Amino acid sequence: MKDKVGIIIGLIVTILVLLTLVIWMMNLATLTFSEIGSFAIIIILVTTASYVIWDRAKNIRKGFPAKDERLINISYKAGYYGFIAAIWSAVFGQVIIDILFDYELEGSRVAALVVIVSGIVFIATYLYMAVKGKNV
Amino acid sequence: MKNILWYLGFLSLLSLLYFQNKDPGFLLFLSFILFFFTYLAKKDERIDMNIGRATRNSFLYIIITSAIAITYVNLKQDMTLYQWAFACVVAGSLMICVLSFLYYDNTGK
Repeated sequence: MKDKVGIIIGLIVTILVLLTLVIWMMNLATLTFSEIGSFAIIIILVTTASYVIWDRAKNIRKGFPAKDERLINISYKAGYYGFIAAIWSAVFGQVIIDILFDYELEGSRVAALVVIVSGIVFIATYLYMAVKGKNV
Repeated sequence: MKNILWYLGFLSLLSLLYFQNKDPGFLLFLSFILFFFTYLAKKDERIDMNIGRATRNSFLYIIITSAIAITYVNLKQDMTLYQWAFACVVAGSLMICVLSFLYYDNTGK
């Protein structure tokens, strides 16, 4: 039951992210290169998250637990790094973009940046530890 | 798990901007100073696990509330709401982190 709840929450988060993406796109008059890049990153994140959810759902259908002890520890650690990345990107993301690209981010883009950066860190850490089996 | 949580303590230095802008909002960054104490904390496997769970909860909170905030503000077409949404996301995530840790630590779950 707990595993199924986790999968349902994962599906809801995926739908929310896709909904945000659609609304964001609908509010844009023209697509710039940086926006296309952002969309590409979000699509990669959603695809990876969907793969993880599908993998767990497959395990449940076969009668196995959705994730074992090692994957549980990996998700905690990836969440830990994702959280730290979110805080740092929330505080310094705007400053760094301003310095690197001489471009002041709007409020919506700062929020999007936090989601993208923390999402990338979470997924990258999760996949790295899951594939390599390393204890970062 | 490497302890990189204590680095968040350096964000408390942003409170020094108060002396330049005289905006008391910058003094809220002083709350980050508490993260320096995690450097001295004696760690074992249980505490590591609890920190992992607490930060995982905060991470999920950030993702979900940011997505809701972006959607809501765009639907309302009121961009001034972003500063409140942003404050709710950051302050809320720190609260979730601390409260989750205390919950897991006290209940032993």
